[in-house]
Amino acid sequence: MPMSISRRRMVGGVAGLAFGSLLLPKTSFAEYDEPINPELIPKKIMFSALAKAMDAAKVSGAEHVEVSMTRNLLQNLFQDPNLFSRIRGGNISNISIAVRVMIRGRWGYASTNQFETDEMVRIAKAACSQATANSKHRPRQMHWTSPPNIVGEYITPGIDPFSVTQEEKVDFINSWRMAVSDYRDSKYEGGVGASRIEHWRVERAFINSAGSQLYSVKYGVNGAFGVYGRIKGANPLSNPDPVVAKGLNPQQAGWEVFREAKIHEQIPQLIIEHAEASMIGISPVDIGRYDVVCDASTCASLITSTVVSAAEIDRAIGLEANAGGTSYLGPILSDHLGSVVGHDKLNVNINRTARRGLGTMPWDAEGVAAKSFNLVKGGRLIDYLTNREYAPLLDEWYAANGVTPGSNSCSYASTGSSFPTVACGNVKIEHGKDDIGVDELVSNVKRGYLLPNMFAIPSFQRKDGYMNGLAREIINGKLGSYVQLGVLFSATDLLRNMTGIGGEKSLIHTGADGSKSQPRQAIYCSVESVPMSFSNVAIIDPNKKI
Amino acid sequence: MQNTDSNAVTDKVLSEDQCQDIVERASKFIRGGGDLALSITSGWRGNTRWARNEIISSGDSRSNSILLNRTIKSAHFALEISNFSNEELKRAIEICERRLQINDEFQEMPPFPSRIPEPVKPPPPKVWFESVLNLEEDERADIYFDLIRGAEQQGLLSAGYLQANATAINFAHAINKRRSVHVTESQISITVRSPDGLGSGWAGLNWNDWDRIDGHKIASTALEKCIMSKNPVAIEPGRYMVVLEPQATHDIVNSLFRERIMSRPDAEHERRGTIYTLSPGYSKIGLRIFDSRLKVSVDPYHPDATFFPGGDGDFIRPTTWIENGVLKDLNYNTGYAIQKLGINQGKIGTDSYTLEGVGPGTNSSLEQMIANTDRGLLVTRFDIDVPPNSGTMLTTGLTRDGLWLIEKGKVSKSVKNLRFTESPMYMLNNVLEYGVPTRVFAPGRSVRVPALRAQDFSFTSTVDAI
Repeated sequence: MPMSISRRRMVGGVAGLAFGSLLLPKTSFAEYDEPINPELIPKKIMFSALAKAMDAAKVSGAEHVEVSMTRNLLQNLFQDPNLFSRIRGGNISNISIAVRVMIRGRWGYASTNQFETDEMVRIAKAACSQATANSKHRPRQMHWTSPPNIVGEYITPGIDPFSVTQEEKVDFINSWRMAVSDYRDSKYEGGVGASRIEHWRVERAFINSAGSQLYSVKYGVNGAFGVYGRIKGANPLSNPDPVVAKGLNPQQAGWEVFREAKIHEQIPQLIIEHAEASMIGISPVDIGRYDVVCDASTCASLITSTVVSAAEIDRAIGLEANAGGTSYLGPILSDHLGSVVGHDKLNVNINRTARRGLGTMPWDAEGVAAKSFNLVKGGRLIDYLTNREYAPLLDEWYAANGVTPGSNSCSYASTGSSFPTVACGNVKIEHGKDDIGVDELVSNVKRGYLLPNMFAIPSFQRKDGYMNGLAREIINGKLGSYVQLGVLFSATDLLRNMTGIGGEKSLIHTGADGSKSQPRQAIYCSVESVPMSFSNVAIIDPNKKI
Repeated sequence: MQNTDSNAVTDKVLSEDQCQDIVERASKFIRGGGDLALSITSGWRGNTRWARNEIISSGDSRSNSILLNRTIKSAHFALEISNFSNEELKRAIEICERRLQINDEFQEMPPFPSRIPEPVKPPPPKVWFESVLNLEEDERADIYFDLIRGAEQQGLLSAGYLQANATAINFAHAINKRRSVHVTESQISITVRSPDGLGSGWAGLNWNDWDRIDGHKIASTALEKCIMSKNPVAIEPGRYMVVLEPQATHDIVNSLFRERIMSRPDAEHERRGTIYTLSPGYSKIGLRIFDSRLKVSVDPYHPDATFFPGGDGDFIRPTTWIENGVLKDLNYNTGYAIQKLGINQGKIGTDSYTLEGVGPGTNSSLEQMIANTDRGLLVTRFDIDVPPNSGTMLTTGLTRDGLWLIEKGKVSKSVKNLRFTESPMYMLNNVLEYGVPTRVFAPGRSVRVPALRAQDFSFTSTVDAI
């Protein structure tokens, strides 16, 4: 499946989860429902249930056992004045209990959403039955890293968004709209686009047969508030998307994010920004090869969906051949380790420590302690995203380079009932040394395009790719008209042809999403990214066949 | 009451009696009149996944959930829960009713359809098969071991996925109307690649009945394609005559027949313009929009088709959407049918479809199409990158898992994959020959499409991906 990135996509994607709950309280002129059973499950009850499954699995012959219970709560409130007048919303609440076992070197897995004692025992036996069947033709000796033995607890710092009343949330979202309608200026006037407040909680308990006992409560928030603007008395020359308020990108945090975003203070600038943008005309695209500047959001998409995704070790060695696709950084890992994948100013780090990162956790899905590592250094690939099972494939490389072997803590399960796959925690694209941003990068381009907020869509091998959207032409270092264009790229060529990279001041936090595995798993992560410029990029007209 | 198979009994999903028990218990908690619609979904999924000729995972997953839709007068409120205890049912219904107490605010809302569609007559076709329920882990492991042998003997790597599903869906209203359906589905897909990554072949199929799937044929097709596709050469992009295998046909025309695209533009739930929209609120029904030989229909009673219940609990009925290239109808849901048309049942189900050519040049074999091509490309399947523009349906993507050059009526060589930029609207008006419709891989759906030969298909660049 193609991988693409962005907050906008993620907002849309999660919105689709909301089911049709409709309500119109008189006081708040909103339609929403409330979470059912929002309270946490007592830890004692969770671990007691997991222990029952663990015991049953051991009795059934499991050599290694992992048991988890995951409870999700998601709530959103949204409004689109172009579609309906009131605030709407919905919530999702579900629970999954899963058992993963190893027998004679083969995995078995079973899950349920019925939180009952008998079910704990049943799924443990079912998982063992799977593993036994899987090993009957080809048992194997597993050479994997030692199972983790950690006892720990983690709770996202911040304000539990489910502790905030529905009324406060509705008032909050309404206040944004009112602030726009109250905006008064002699030159500009504003309008409201779609707005959304969304938050979730993932409560997870995990034990394994090596003695690990982990408990976590992760909160996350995501929001959007779009604003239109126009210059009084002027006829707009274009109709760009609303300008979106800053600070509401998907992140692991609590309700404080919405307060800290200070939306009211942003509104005048958002209105002016959109009004000025709508006075920019649209020009036809000149196809050919050009220098381009990608803003930090586009770079996040480009790099995460190509080189980062291609470096997932299961993808690289061909385990995703019938699912998420293969990798241009495989199938023989030693052919690619140390090879040039981009300009020597390209440095990519994978971590689980970024402040408010969606992947920030002290451990991964199989309980391995979080690790921060460099994936690309000086433009060269120096590691892969690994889990316990496949990390030993890199032992020789690690030994030759003085690196301690072991899993890079990239085990990932999108839901409580998903068999763990390999995916990144958080991605950090290191900023350049020079303190420059998009403006400076644009000023260095004589003839080219600025590509803002675009989503890279890589091929099934993650190398060749495509993106399209509304760009700005650059003439003699200055931004010109809007241009609807498409971009064809090869990740290796593009990243090697980097001509500039933004500095610390240009760094942004954004989100990334993708999918892989069978059954399909959605992947979300946070990305710290900077803008970059590239030379010799193929620009096409997306509205013409050739 | 209607059931697609009254003998559907398994411990994998809730039985009809268990669902009835939930309905009866929930009904007792209603206060304040009105109706309670219950949609109970109970599912089992067993899967086995392999790669590099070895099993990498397998699983058994079960889940039960219930969507409660409480209606009082014209207002409704919905909640979903997965715990069916009396305590939880009572609590959920009370939340709904608490929210509905301020019901004067709800008058602007359209009433939720209060009539359940009449049973389909004749009874729906059989969609519940023991052959799928029997795909337990042992059986799946044996199938895997059997199907990788060919690739292994050739020194190639097989990756595959075998899945069995059983789903019980029970729609019930407290006012004693009820319908249930039990559905099974199986799917298998296999990719065979050369260890150096320079050759790749794929095949796949889904069906309600596992006995209708020939696993060996899937495995051998993927294997042959991998062998034939090795060491591809690059060719210039441009406009080519193409011979599309059925899977490739589906991959590119699929977007034309998705539920949202093919909805009545005047229907309450669908206000966007699509290629089937003449002007806001008006459809192109009655107008010719495709090649006059084209027919698109759905018929769950066809022996090579299966069906699945639709999203709002409605069932697919035999329908012709396009005939002689003329748009005959577009889908609408039950709410629209009741409110706007005064009939009791919606017309949905375009996600499952049969596309065929009727008339001259519509019965060609793949070999005949190749023989009739002086220079062109034979395409196994496409990977679609970008959702099509809703106005032109222009889209882009890549060929994959087998692309060959045809020269002077014969397949001459394997070629490197190409990026295409094309609209299925244009392509379906450039078809020279149709084959006979056959089932393709479309999990959760029943799709029958033919191979076809079309001219002027636009390829825009070569790609390295194999």
